[in-house]
Amino acid sequence: MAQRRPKGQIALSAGIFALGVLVLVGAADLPAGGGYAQVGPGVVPRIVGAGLVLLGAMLLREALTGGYRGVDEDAELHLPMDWTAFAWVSGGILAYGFLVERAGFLIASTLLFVAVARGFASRRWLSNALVGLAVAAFIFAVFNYALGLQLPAGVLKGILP
Amino acid sequence: MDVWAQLANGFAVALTAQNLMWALVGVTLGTAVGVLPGVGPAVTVALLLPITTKVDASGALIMFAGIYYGAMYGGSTTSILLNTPGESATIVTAMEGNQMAKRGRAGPALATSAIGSFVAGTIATVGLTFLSPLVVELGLKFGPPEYFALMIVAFTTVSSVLGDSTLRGMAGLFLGLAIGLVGIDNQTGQARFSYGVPQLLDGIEVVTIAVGLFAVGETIYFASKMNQVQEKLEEVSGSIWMKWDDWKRSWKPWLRGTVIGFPFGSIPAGGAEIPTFLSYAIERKLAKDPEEFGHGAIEGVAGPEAANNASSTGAMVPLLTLGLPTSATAAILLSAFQQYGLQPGPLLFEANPALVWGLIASFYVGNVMLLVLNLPMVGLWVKLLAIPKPQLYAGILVFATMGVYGMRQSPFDVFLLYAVGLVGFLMRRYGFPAAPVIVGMILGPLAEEQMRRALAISQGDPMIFLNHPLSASLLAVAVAVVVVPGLWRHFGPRRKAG
Amino acid sequence: MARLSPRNLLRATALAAGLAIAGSAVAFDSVRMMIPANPGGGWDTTGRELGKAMIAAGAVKNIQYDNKGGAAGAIGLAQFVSASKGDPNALMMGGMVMVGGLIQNKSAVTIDQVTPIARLTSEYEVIVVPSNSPIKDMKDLMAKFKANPGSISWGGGSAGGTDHILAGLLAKEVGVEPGKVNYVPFKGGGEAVAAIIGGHVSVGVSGLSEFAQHIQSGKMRALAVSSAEKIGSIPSLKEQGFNVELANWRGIFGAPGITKEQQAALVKAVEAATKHPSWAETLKKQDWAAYWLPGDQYGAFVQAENKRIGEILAGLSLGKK
Repeated sequence: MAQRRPKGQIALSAGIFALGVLVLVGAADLPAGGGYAQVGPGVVPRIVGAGLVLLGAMLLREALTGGYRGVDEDAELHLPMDWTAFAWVSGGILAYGFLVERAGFLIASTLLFVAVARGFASRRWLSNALVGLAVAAFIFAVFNYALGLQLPAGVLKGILP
Repeated sequence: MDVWAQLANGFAVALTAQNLMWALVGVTLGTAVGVLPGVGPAVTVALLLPITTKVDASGALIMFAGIYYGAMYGGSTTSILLNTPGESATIVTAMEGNQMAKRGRAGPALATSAIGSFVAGTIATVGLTFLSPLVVELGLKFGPPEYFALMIVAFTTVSSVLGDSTLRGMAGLFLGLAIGLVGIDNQTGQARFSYGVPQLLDGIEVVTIAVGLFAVGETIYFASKMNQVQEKLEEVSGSIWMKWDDWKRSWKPWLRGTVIGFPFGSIPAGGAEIPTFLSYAIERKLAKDPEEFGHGAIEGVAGPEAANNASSTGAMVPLLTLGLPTSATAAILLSAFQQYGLQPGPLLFEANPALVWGLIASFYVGNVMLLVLNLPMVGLWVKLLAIPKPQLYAGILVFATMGVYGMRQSPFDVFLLYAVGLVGFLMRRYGFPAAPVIVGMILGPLAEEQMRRALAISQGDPMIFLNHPLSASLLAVAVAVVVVPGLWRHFGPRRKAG
Repeated sequence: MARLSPRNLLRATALAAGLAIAGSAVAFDSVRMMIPANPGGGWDTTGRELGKAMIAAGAVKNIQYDNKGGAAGAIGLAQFVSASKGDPNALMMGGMVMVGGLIQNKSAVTIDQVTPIARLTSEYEVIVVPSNSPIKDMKDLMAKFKANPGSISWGGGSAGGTDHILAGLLAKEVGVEPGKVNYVPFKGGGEAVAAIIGGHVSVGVSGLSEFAQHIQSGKMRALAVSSAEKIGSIPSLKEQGFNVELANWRGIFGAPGITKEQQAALVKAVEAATKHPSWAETLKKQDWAAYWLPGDQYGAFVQAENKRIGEILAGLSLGKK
């Protein structure tokens, strides 16, 4: 394990470096000077971009020379990614984004609840769905009837009071 | 008439049955909207403005003010229990508060936050009663250079939230600064890093980032990494109330938080978030055992919670004495006054003392109500943690997505939330702390704006920051904060190695 | 303005038929009003007071307000255009400031995209100094400005807004290149007021209503108003020998893509509000002049303003890099 390079750390450090480059590229279009202030909208982005590039490079160095300091990478390795769980949680949130205005808040929230619970290995579909619906209905009632803020009813429009 | 007599008259107004009822309605509503992420006191008061046609001025204003400071009591609840801040001013509370909850100490965390809010709210009201003219005068001394210096002081305290590795903490901070750049530049009206996406012109809401990094990132991490491990949330162990030791450790942070929060609330662009950062940093510096920070130190809950409450009362100072709103909620309160044809300011104190002093007296009453209301709730709230993990996290995400979606009613924000959640997951996985991101995001844009304003006023001469005595002293404080601990380590008495 | 495709036309006809049956039911249950400015400012007050009058007049049961400040209203407009498309219950405050801001930001969303409902008020600008300022009067101010333009910092609302335009017009009037105005933009009303009272900027420019109370209480000293005649005891620019006049109008818009009938219903609801006594009271209280112009006439006016302000801004070389 000693010579195993922490691929994830290297990728993440490179990602931070790349983000810095992205910020610098974006800042290049923004004027750095101008006006009485002599400090235009481009100055702070340049500083931030340079900072990210520098930090990315330093993190990369740490990653390449034995890994991040102060992180117990070995302990992490004993915990393999549970991609199924990851997919359930991710799917639940993304579905919510697609459905909240199409199917409505109640349906989207109930599905999210069931999906996240499944991500945590709960297979009690029916009871989860009922609990999720109850939570969503409570929020919906508070918002739409007590506060007067409109959460979308979606396909249930007309059915709900 | 002296202040005491005025205040006594004020209590006569505040203690009528009718006004007591309005105060109760206000603080209850405030607690409720504080608990719900995505609904703030500003929105709530705005929604209730139409009642001004039916209710008399003192009743309505007492209720509106109750909503405002009541929200600060409620906001900490979800931060502590679910790591999902209900208001942006309670993000810091989540850091220690949620750690306490994970160690079975949710009860004391909630209690110290409720009692701290009460202490701070009450002391700040005393400040409002007796110190208003002084505080306003100080507040007006703050111009762009002073604000910039203040932001720099706030930046120097960041080290306290950086976590185990300075390098990774700084990376988080700069990530936050980068996020803060997105949106229209206020000084020139130019769009930055919005890539033609109209939703990004607004900039990215702090709440989206906070909920994404904390609640969503945490959920993804637990689901995909910790599922196999039979580590479950700690049952509430021991008493849900504060023990003697908790009291001993809390009272000083309450007072310090109050002293920091109150003046911050009274200056425009002060806000309630920055004093919570400062309070957290100071408590960490002063703690007997700084190592405990990040693992559930009660001081880190007591201080910031007092600070945010004191700042909401502090916002009443310029509002009542000058008619100057320093926060979104204060601005709406101002328009509530105007609904009655009243203009807050020194003239109002003379023209309508019963109203003004009745309102001030109602703050004392309202804070007592909030304490009575919130303490018994602690027992109820901690029971939430007995919910099994799948349903608990599912519920957290339902609330988190609702809060983020509900803010602007935009599905775009839900997808953004997921993306931020993934970043939060990666940060968690590789040991990057999340709090610096929030700090960078809040402080960065403020610091940049004030710096450029100051430089415009001085026509590009950076000496403006040193020529103004107040800004120069603040910068000196910033330098001291950075340099002194280093010198202390070199030349001071030896301490236990950190 | 609502685009009239054949499909839309068909829908509009069907709707009109439906409306005809329903009679003159203009009462709205719930209306959302986008206020593209932070709470406390001019649009905010106008919007909320109008809302109050709409409720009082029985045209609307319930109004929700949505404050989205920044960039002279462009942020709120973009949000309104994307989120409220086709929503017959949505309104948005707007005005001259927004027109200028959109031009200046080369915004992708334009004011043509929303549906004109009515022009409501006009307000004049006031130029103030902190009460302890050494600047005595307008002549004194402009002399100092002429001698060293950068030394006078003008605090006001967002860059390219009415306040900024007035400062630019004044510069032009006294023969200083308008681009030389040292303008310091603040967000919303409260922040600018504090900077002026605290003496952090040399001059403040804003709508009269935003500064009136502070002038009254003596924290600010008014030098001039931008109307033709004096207002109260404040002399106009013209009276003091500066040939500059500027009215800041405010009006209200409906969502993009609503039908003619829906537009008419909103115009009717707003008109009912402006005829209600509470609106007259508001105008008096806030020192606003009524400036009523409904529907498509208002749309034409906005177009004309768009052109006029575009020319002013280009002449001022504001927003050019």
